[in-house]
Amino acid sequence: MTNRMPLIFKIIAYVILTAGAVTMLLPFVWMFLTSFKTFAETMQVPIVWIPRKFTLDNFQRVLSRFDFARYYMNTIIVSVGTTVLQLTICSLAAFSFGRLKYPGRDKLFFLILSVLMVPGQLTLIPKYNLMIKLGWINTFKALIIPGIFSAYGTFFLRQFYMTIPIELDESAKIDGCSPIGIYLRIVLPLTRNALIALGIFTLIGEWNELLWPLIVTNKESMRLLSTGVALLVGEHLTEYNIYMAAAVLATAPMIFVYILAQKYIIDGVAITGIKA
Amino acid sequence: MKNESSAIKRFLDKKVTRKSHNLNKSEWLYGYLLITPLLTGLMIFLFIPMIQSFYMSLTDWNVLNEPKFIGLQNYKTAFTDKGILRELYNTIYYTIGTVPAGIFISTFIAYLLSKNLRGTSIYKTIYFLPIITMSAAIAIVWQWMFNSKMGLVNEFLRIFGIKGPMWLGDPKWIMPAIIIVSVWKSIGNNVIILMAGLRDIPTTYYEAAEIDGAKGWHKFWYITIPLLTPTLFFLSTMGLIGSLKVFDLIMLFNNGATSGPMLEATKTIVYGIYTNGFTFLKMGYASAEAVLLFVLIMIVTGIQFFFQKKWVHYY
Repeated sequence: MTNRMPLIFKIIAYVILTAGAVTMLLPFVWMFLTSFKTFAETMQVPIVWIPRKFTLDNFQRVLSRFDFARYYMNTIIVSVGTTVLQLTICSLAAFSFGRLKYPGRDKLFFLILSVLMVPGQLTLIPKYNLMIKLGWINTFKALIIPGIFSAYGTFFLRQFYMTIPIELDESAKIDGCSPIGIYLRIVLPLTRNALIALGIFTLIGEWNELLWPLIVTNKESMRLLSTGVALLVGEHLTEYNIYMAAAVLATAPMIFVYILAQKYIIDGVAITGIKA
Repeated sequence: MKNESSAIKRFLDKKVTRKSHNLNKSEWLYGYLLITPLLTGLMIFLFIPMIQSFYMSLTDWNVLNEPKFIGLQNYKTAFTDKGILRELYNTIYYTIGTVPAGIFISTFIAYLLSKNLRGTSIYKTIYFLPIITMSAAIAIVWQWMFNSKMGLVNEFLRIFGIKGPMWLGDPKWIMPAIIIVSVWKSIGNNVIILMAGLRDIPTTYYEAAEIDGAKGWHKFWYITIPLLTPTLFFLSTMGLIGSLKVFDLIMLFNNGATSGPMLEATKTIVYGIYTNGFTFLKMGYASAEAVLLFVLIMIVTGIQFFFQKKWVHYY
């Protein structure tokens, strides 16, 4: 059905798709270009597209007025920490739910499935209360630990673990391989891509998370890039060139990760779309 | 933990070789052991907080005092509170503005992309870019794009001789502006999932239709769309749930404001939970609002599943 497409249809398709792509990219291009403009250039009518001189002043001002190095460090600790711990906990649980047999397994798994639909906002206030009681406000513990137990992540990985033929486990068992050995030597290598996809989703999600960090931190030294950029707007007037420089600094690492790992991300989204 | 489990492993491995009966026991032990961290965590950070939140919604509590039980008072207040009704209205307005438009545009784009044109993967990469970008950055850029004098949006409208509104300075236009950004942000994700749905439609259906003399448009309308309904159902359900929980863009487009006409026009339920709970410290009331949001999501999901019989074709 694909090769007999008339030329005119192809041209129309390209025009529409390109217009769409321009709409998608334009805000990013605009952000990038504006981050190198002077304040005067941002205020000019008609619009100045390309700055006359690419100045790094905006970046310097962001870095000198806000502790962006600290925000970076904090964000990396939180997003990488959450990702590593979540992958460990969820993949072990998913392996247990998907590959091992024991009484009550399916009931426990159903319990986890039943909370997939529960909005995180429902538990926001009690969780905040718990953070106060534990003395975790303004600590990395509050930013990381509540986020590492993911019902969704477990469900996601279990779907993949179920696709491996169970005969592999059985023959390994006969050869004297323990469940941990099966997990490490059979299941993990065969489902590497699923783990990578979930890892990237978690990393990006944590990098961009706004509500929870906003609630459990209020010290400048505990700010993340997301809360830093969000609160920047309140502290400045309308110096959009500065904002854009901050936005470029905050988003560049994930855009980089995305470009490197887009295959995993796009395949992962496509598969969960069908399976979930 | 690691030492402990490897000790258990060594212990169990010895037994495993002896009897198959013990093999099962070892599998049981590993089974429970491996889910323990997850279940413990979910218990502490999800199940118990869920129950607590229902209880808290029945109390008067401002963080500093101990919670005081007041029965259904918070719910009675909520149902007569103009603020909450406004939030509900805004949330529904946002949802109706975002979900159908997002799915409609995405279906069209996914259909074009599924035609195996050259450069499909580049388009996919570009369309997906907004999803991985933090909403704080997205909001800043779009606020500047919507600037009535120097923004690109009105500059674009000027080409067609349209004088654009004061998007962010007009209570009538700020919500449409937020909706445009949300649709823009949602397309990439929808497109990827829809393309997977399109790819899964067996080509035999098209071949059979072609033998019967079906033309392009007919094939799209009578084969592609019906066989895509499971994907459309999934996307609309996820989209509805996500929209009812919208927070980031609302908070960011209001620069964290707690009052004013722009906030009045855009404040959603989750933003209400956030301000009631964490700005005004009315934790009990905010919990009641969270419970109501949960109920609303359950109702909407229930309706979705109820009506799926009418329009979703599984094959």
